[in-house]
Amino acid sequence: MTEPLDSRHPQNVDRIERLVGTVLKEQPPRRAPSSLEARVMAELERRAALPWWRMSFLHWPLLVKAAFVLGSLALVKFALTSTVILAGRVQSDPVVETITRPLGWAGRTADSFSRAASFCSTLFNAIPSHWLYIGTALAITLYIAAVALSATAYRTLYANK
Amino acid sequence: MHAYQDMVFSTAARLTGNDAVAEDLAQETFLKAYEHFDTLKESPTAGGWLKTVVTNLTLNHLSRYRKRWKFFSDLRRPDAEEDDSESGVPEALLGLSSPDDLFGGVQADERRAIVERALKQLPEHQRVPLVLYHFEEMPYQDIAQHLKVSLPKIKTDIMRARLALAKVMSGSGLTLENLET
Repeated sequence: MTEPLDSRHPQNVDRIERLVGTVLKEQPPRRAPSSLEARVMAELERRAALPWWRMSFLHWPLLVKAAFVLGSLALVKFALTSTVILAGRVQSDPVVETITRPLGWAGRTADSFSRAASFCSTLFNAIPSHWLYIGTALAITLYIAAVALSATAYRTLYANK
Repeated sequence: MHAYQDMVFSTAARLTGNDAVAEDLAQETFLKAYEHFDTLKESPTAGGWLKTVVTNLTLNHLSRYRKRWKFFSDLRRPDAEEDDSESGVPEALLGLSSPDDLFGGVQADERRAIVERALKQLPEHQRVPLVLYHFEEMPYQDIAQHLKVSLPKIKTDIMRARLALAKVMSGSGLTLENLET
């Protein structure tokens, strides 16, 4: 056997580059699978068969595009105007009662959440700060351990197969 | 499409090292081409356009895949393989001046298959810059920019890829006798 030479020597690097470069340049293109053309044609037919409203906005007819933009602008204007008008009139009690009556359950639910949040906040303030630091450190450690464990599992069970 | 499908598929297959993914990318490239059919059908640069599109689509695909698995892939990068490819190159290999010397009596078809297999065996961080440099004739600087990797690393990866490729090729097709002639 001949002794290995230093592959980092500039002269050797150049020779290997030339040799490998020549081999790769002589390499003909790989033959595409026979199914490729059929797949492309089938996908083109599928796309052509789609109605315009299932295509992207760019492919919509020009008139529909214009109508959509105008409609959107009108909707925005309507929403803004309605908000301003409602904000002015909503002061009267009958209106407020009409709106809030069907939403009573939502109010009660929000109230319950608010009490629960208040209780949690009181509890949180009662915990000594060093316990919080220990808890945070523990959570971070567990998180890192979980990531390391899954990485090891990936390497052992999947990547090395 | 007939005229370009092999070129498009080859580019994607050599960059990804995966024929199924390469077929998907080739399909996507031709679908994009059909969207620009009016400008491309008479264009003399249609081949170049297709090559650019398939290269960019493939690099985007690889970049998405790399980000998704970066953490895990970094863990499993085989350092031993890197060390091996840098350790040296047989003197006999350096004495060769042409592919015919390298492959000796190996038939052309078999020679092509050996090269394609050797390319597939390279790790992605070596294969992609090597293919971009030798097949796509992209300069080192452009490869570094495309892959968002430093220029020295690109040069090192390509050098290691060449060495690994030369070793695999010589190991597949050569006996010591026809290496030394």
